[in-house]
Order: sequence, then structure tokens, then C-alpha cells
Amino acid sequence: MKNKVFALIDCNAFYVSCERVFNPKLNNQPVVALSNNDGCIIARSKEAKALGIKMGVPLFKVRDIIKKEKVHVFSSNYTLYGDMSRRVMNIIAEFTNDIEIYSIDEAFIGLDGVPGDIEKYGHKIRKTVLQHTGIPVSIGIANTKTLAKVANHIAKDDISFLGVCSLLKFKNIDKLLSSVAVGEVWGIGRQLSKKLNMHGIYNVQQLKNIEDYRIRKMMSINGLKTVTELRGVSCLPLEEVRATRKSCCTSRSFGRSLQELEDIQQAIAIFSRRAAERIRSEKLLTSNISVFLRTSPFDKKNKYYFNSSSIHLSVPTNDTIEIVKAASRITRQIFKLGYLYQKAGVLLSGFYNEGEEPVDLFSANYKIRDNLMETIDSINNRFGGDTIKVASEQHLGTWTQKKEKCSPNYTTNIDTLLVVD
Amino acid sequence: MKLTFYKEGVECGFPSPARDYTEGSIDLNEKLILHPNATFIVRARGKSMINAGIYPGDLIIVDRSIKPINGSVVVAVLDGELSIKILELKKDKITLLSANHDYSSVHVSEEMDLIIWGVCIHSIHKLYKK
Repeated sequence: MKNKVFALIDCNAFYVSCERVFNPKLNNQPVVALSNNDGCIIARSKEAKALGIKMGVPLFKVRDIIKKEKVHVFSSNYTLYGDMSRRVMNIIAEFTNDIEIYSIDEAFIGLDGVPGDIEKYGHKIRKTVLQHTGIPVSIGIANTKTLAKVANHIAKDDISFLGVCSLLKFKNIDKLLSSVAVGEVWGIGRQLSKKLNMHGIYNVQQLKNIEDYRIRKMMSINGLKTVTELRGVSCLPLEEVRATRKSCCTSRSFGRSLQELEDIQQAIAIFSRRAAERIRSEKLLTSNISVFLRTSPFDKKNKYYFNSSSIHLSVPTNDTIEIVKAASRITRQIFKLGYLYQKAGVLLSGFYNEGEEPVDLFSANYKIRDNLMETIDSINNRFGGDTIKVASEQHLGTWTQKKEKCSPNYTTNIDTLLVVD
Repeated sequence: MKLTFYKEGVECGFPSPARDYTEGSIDLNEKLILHPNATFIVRARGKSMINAGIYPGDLIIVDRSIKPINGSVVVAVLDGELSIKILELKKDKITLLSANHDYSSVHVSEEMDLIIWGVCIHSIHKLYKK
């Protein structure tokens, strides 16, 4: 059988690159983007990396470097990033029929049957995406998804590859693999990486060569798949349709701390509605609703409080009103007066596919609201996410997010276009 | 008795003479945007391109996928600064021309960093002002 060919295409420092497209002065300058609510650093230009700013570090911990080195800081502008992502993915899809959009800035593609030099094809994809959108990407090409991801890491790390690394052209990739740390392998997290290091396994080449029984001992069943893929045997196909999810969480930090039950109830109602919409769009029903609340763990002056609780539903649902009601009941249970709440969230789990849920004899009327939900979703899809809400959400109150350094929506709002002299 | 039901409706009198000529409506997106994934709309500011038909406040449709040629109106990035200019390509010499005598043109020297951001393909100018 002919070997399969996969490529992983990953946008370089995607959020930073999006900002740079519309603000070219940022090229060659240190730039970072912040997570929701301006909490942590979630994207860094290579200049910012070189200053020692780590991924995921809270903003307040790097304030001094940022000030001293004049690092440009952006709040995350998901409207802009989402639109740029859509463009990038559409362009990639013109090069292949097999695409798995893995995240906002990564896609696996299948390149079976591409005639001629596959590495050249990779360069063509890279050049096209860069020219059409301004977003630089790195491409790793190999016979398995896991190796494609390793190749992608090499393409990013070693500039001599000019953004595209194909492992296919090497007779022997051992030397290349030994230059990559195990922690970079897809599916190997920090904990597992530490564990492997303790067993003397530091690089991908070493990991590839350990005996199966040792892998089984150290890693889960997925670990064996990972290692098999590193050996060049493909076990993970492209998932053009995402596997059914296990849970759905909507949570946010508040723009400022909240003390009142009423304010928190409002936030929880919004989170519940969004979660309900999301599972409805995936045709899932939830049987377990959890809510959590917490104060800031960094606040040394005030007492810390965290609590969460769940309700199990005998009749699974994706009805916004049912979910908001249940979440509101839980919130009342776990809320305590006298704390400064900083974050809350709603977690739905225990999913059933629509039509496969257990039947409850006493809920014959249950389906009636389905049409209502469908109508609400189609209106919200058409006129924007918040057109129809549940009354308990009221107005977007005092807790909406902090977004101090957000760039304009250059591509989606005619009033905030890029202005050019 | 059986009644025939005409799903399409039945014509009374003469059929409309335009009936065979309807084509739907004009879709400006389709006409003005050739490559949607590579097209961005920007707003012009200043008067440096007035003689090329670009006025302050106009909407400019910029296509990044088109290869710029001599004479193309482009969004240029010169040393990090964005501007709309006419690209003049002569042998080894690149010049960014303004379309207004009050504004200077720039010869792009070796040390300068020039990126052509995109090619301007349409300008939308508002004529009716409330």
C-alpha cells in the first residue's frame, strides 16, 4: 500500500500576525496578544519570545519588561482573528479536498495524489496564504499526522527550511528527530514529558525507539498510537468531522469583581444560553449541568472562595430555558455573600445525540419547545448572536470583559476599516 | 369529476413580455470582488491620489492576490508606512507616484523596505450626501 501524506499547516504567532497585517509598523517589533479579559499572554512574536516572555504568563508578571522594551500589547480581537482564520482555511482548502481544521490557526490536510514534488507544493501553499492574507504559516509534511506536527515544529525552529519541512525527502530522519524534545510531540503534555525525561527519554528519536511494553507502562493506549505514528505508521486519520465532544464549557473572567447574586445570575444566564446554543448546533442533549464560581486566586487581601455544583437531569435537554433554570438554581446554592467573584462558568456534560436519549414517560410535552429553540437559533444566526435572549440575562451589565487594547474590526465593520493615506 | 391542479399557476391574459428575460438582481459583491478570501476594503484618506479618482473617504477594494504591474494602483508599505500610490516599474527603478501635483513621488532605493500590500481594483465614491 502506498504511504499516506499529511501536512500540518500552522499560522506563525497567529494573533500577532493578524495585528501586523493591518499595522505593518509592528513588523520586526516585539508584539504580544492577551487572553480573554487581558489576563495572560497567549501569542508572542519571535521578538517578544526573545525577550523571555513566556507563553501563558499573566500580564502583570511581565509588566516591567513590556514597559522597558516597548512591547506592543493587544487584547484579543476574536472577530478579526476569526475572519482572518476563515480566509486562511478557505485558501488552504483550494489546494486539497481533505482538510481537518484543527484549531483557529492550524489545519491538517491530506496530500495523497499530489503530483510532482510535494515540498514544492507546500511552498506554493505557504506563498499563496502569505500573499493573499498576509499571514505567514509553517508547514510540516510527513507520512503521519504526528510526524507532520514534528516536521512543522522543525520548519518553525530552523529558518533554513524557509517555512516548509518535508520529512519525505530524507532517507533517514533520525538525526532530525533527535533535535526535537519529546514535549513537542502532539499529545505529550508537560506531565508526561517530565515522566519520560525521568526515564531518560528526552528527544523524539529516543521515544520512537523504546519498546512497546515500556510505552504501555509509561503512557496510555494513545501513547502507543503516538509512538507508532512517530515510526511512520499512520494510525490517526483526518477527522473532517469532529468526534462528538464530551463536555461544553462557557466561562469568563469578569471585567471587575462582582459581589451581588443578581449580577452573577445574569452572567450565568448568558453562559448557559451560549452553551445551550453550542450543543444544539451539534445536535447534542445534556444530562448534567454544572456551575462554578470563584474569587481571584491572586487577590491577597480578600478571602478566596471556590465552589461548584451540578444537577443531573433525568431527561436530557438542549433547551435554553431548561438549562438557564437549572444553572440558576445551582448558582443560588453555591453563591455566598461577602466575596469578590472574579470568574464563573457553566459546564454541560453527559451528552446524548438527539434522538438517542432515554425516554421519560412523564415528559410527553417535552418536544414542544424544540421549534421555539430552532426559531431562536435561526434568528440569532441571522441577526447576530444576542438578538434573542432569555429575560434573566437582562442587559449586558457591569461585568462585561476588559478589552483595553483591542484593535478595530478591520475586516468586518465598515465604520472601522483600515485607513490608508 | 377530476380537477387539474396547476402547481405553477395559470396565466391570465398575455404573459409578461419580460418573462423570459429575468436574470435575478445585480450582485455587486460578485462584480467588484474577484477573490473574496484575498480581498480587503480600506478607506482612503488625504488627497494624494485625487487625479487617479481616489478622494478622501472613498472605499477602496484591495485584492492581495493580483500581481502588481507597472501602473497598478497599490496599497504600498514603505518602511512600515501604508499608502495608496501608483506603482511605476522601470528596469531597475521602482517609483511610487502620487496622483496629485501637490504631493511628491518616492523613488524606492535599495535601503528602503517596500512591500506591496495589495492591488487597488475599485474605488467607491459617494455622490449623494444627506
